Parts: sequence; structure tokens; C-alpha cells
Amino acid sequence: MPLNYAQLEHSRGQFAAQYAAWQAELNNRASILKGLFSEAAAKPDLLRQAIEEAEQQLTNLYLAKPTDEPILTHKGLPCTPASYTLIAADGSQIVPSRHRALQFGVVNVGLIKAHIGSGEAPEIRVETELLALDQIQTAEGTLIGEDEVALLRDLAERKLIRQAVSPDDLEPVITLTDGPLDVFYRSTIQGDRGQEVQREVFEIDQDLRRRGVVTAGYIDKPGSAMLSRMLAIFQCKRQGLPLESNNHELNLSDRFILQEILRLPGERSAIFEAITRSARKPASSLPVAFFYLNVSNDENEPCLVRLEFPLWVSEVPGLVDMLHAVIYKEAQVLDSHPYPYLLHRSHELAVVKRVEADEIEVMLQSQLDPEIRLHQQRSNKDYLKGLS
Amino acid sequence: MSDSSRSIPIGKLLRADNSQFVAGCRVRELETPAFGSLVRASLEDQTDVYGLITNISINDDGLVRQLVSGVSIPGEYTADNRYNRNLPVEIHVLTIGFSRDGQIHHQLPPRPPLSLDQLFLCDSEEVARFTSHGYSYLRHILRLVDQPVEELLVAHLSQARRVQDSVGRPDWYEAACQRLIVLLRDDYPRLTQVLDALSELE
Repeated sequence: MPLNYAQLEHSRGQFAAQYAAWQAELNNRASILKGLFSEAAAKPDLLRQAIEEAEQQLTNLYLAKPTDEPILTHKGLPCTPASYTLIAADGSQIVPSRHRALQFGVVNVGLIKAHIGSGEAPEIRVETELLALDQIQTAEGTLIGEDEVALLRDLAERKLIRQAVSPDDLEPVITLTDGPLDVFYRSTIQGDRGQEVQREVFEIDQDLRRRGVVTAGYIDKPGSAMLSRMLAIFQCKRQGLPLESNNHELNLSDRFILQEILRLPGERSAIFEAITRSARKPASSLPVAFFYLNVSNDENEPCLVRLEFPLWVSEVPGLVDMLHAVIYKEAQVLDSHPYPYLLHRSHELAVVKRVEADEIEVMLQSQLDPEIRLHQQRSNKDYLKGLS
Repeated sequence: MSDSSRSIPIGKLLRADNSQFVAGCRVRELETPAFGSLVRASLEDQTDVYGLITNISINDDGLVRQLVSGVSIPGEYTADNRYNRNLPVEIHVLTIGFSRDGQIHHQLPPRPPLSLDQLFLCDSEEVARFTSHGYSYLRHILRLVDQPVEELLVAHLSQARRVQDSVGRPDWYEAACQRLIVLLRDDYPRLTQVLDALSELE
């Protein structure tokens, strides 16, 4: 059925007015937050004290904490090492659906490893895992959802990265995944299963740290408001109010606060520690730091991304500079739409299309006993959707 | 049917009709096939379909177009696009004959090769065998429209002449030229162009 364009035509004027008002509200918030950011920069001890108190007092927290660098830091692009190894992994999945004839789940991970400076074509790997039946069912016997499958996908990405790192790799070795480095943020996962995955991810993190591998998570067009929450805490402290990080009036993506500070292409922000307090957070998890990076090559059009990495990286001289330079250079390969080339390629390797999911289903059906197969019917709703 | 063990596989069939076919190959396999080379596709019914490479095209996609406009691409990523990504090089082939039960025919085959049939580059012995069976296959080349027929003739006759010379038939090339003159006797402008192109082989 086509869209009712006449109806849309009628609504679009109202939408534009609402959107303009919303943008004005965001600009107003940005202006307040930039002022607060400057004030916090001038009172680093008060800011630190406020955050540390919040860490003690609040049980639900997700914000930025300054490190030794002044928060107004904007650092230019360092030199890129002549040779290094960059490994990117990305995954996609087939989420089990009761509408299919067969209930099954698949995690597909694409990995690409380049020895930059060698001149050789990168190595590519694709790992496809058919999830076991007990993996796709909850304790209550229902099918697991998007978040659970995504968690298994994240784990599969990390496992493949660990396998791909070799003693023969050109050093330094950097790994890159799409999205935050932590996996426990997936909100709906509860119980032992989620904790087990988090434990495994933590073990992998520890192993990679021992081997000196720099793991990084790349967040394109970041929407999180970690700096806003940091400033909300600072404001409460300054005004003598009870500490509260969730101030709706100050909620704004960090990139709006920093885009005037990181004007020059290749500049990065100060390093912040990502502070998380949550009932779901496992006791052992990787302390994470991040900076914002302007990956644009045009001074008039800043394009800020967030790069997450383990906190220990910021404690080793030279590693943050190396990561900063490598990621900017990598994003410049696709310079009109800056994004790490290898991350795009790993996505290209991993993505599972609908037609491929259907092929897997046919393949699995062919292995079933004819008697069982007879009773596995696709839902009528799904069948009819396939007609259009 | 020809002995495939001695031939070099250069790709697999993508699409075909009776008079032409297209094979795909990876860039790594692109070192051997050349414009004008004699190639063969072997069918399951023991028929070999012969053709000449009339064009080799390199495909692109959105990512390649994006990279082309980039300022600097590391050599490793150029290699990634050439060797890792699923963008086959297309080899276009003009069908010029077939063989069945060891007998060469310069007519179009009864049916075209099928998708994924393997394409082989013919070795000297096969070139000699196919071209020793008369010159009537040249009419297929002359029928081509909007393609560099003269260049194709030069490339093919150059290869065939070298092979025929090596098997002790130095008069083969001259006879081929005579045959072309006969075939083009009513099309003087085209004949002039063909002879002009062939003068490069003198």
C-alpha cells in the first residue's frame, strides 16, 4: 500500500515548526552546558570532588569523569606509526522468530586484519554460528529477543578478535569494533546467562591487555550525554543541592558541547573515564576511557565521533596518541563520509540478508525428519508479508 | 572433449547465449587471459565451445566509487578491493565454433554453456587444432557490431600465426588474409580498415 502523501503534506508544516522549536531548545541547552563546561574547567577540583561523591552516593550512574587532562583540551593530530596491525570485527544475527517455520538463531561475524605498511591484502574471516536450541530459549521456554542475540554476537566478535591476534602481527596491534566497548549496557538481559557472557568478555579483555593489544570501540554520531550528566552533577554540587545526574533540562549529546572546541580536523578532546554504576554491571568489568575525535577533513563541518578504549591505555605513554592518529587516518580512507574503512568492511563481510536467512532455514529443514518437517509451518502472516 | 588438465582455468560462466558468453574471474586469475585469446568452455555433454575474448571489464560498486574519490588509499586496501572483495572481472567471449567427438565445427554450438561452467585458456596445441580446420570461423568475428573488430583480428591472427608458424605452416597467415579479403570484398571501406590494422603484423 503506498503512503498517504496528502496526509503527510498536511502534517509536514506542523512537523517543521515542532522541529524548529526543538532545535531552539537544544541550542539553548547547548549554550547553558557550554557555560557550565567552562566553569567546570575553571574549577577542576570541585568537579572531581562532585563526581567522586556521586560515585559514592548514587547507584545508577553513567557519566564522564575527567582524567589528568584539563577538560577543555583539544589536541591536534599526532604522527601515525609507519607500520601497525589493525583488526576490525563486526557481527550480524538472525533473531529466532516464532513466525518462521523453524525457530533458529544465527550469529555471523566478519573479521578483517590488515598489516598496514606490509603492502599485502588484508586477511578476512567469516564465522557463522548456529545457536543451540538451549541458547535461543529462555528459562521460561520463550524465544530470546534481539538484545540477547546481540549479546551473543558481541561475545562472538570478541572471541574472533582474540583468535585473530597473532605473535607475528606488526606492532602495535589495535582492534576495532562498532559501538561501546562494554557489553552490559544491553538493558533487558538478566540472570545468569548475561553474567556468564560478561564474565567471558572480561576474560578476553584481560587476555588482550596482557598481550598489549589496544581494543577500541568506535561510536559514530554519538548520542550519549555523558558530559551533560557530569555537568549536571557539577551544577548540583555548586548549588549545594543533592547530587542528581539525570537533569532533563541539561540532557544533550556530548558532541554539541564539544563541536566548537574540536574545530580543527583531526583534533581530539580530553580523555574522560566512563563511570558506570548499575545493578546490572558485573563486579569485574573493564574500566573504560574515551575521547571525542573530529574525523572531518573540513574545518567548517566538524564530525565528532566517540572512541572508547580501556583505561589502562591512557596510562601507557604514547598509546593514546597512536590510537588517535591511526583511527583518524583510517576514517580518512572514506574521506567524504569519514568512517573506519576496515570497520565498514567487517560489516560488509558479516551482514546477513533476508534471502540468506531463508536459505539457512531451507538448509536446516532439509536435515529434519520428514515427519517433523511436516509440522513446521511458517506463520500465515509471515507468508503473506512475503508476497508484497 | 579436450584434455582440461593441460589448460589453464581462467573463470566460470556467468551468462551465455549461442553466440556469446560472459565469464567471471577474480583479479588474481587475470594474469593469463588476454584480449583476442582463444578460450574454451567444456560442457557436460562432452561438447567444447570455443570463443575469442572480445572484452575484459572490471566492475565497480558503491565502495569502490567512494574510494576512487578518496585522497589517499593505503596499498593494503587497494589490494583488499582487488583480491578479497566479491567483484568479479568479466570476460566477454564471442563464440566461434565447437567440437564434439573430436571433430571441430566452425558453426555456432547447438546450445550455449551453462552458468558456472569453467572457462579455459586454450594452449598452443588447441589453437593449432582449431585454426587448422579452415577459416570459416572468421565470419563470426566480422559479424560483430560496435566492437573493435580490426583490433580483435590483429590480436587473434597474431596468436594463431605464431602457433601455425611453430607447427610448420608459415603459409597459414597469408591464406587467412586472403580469406578476409574474400569475405569483405563487398565492403571496401571496412576491408581497408582491416588490412590497415593487419599491416602491423607485417
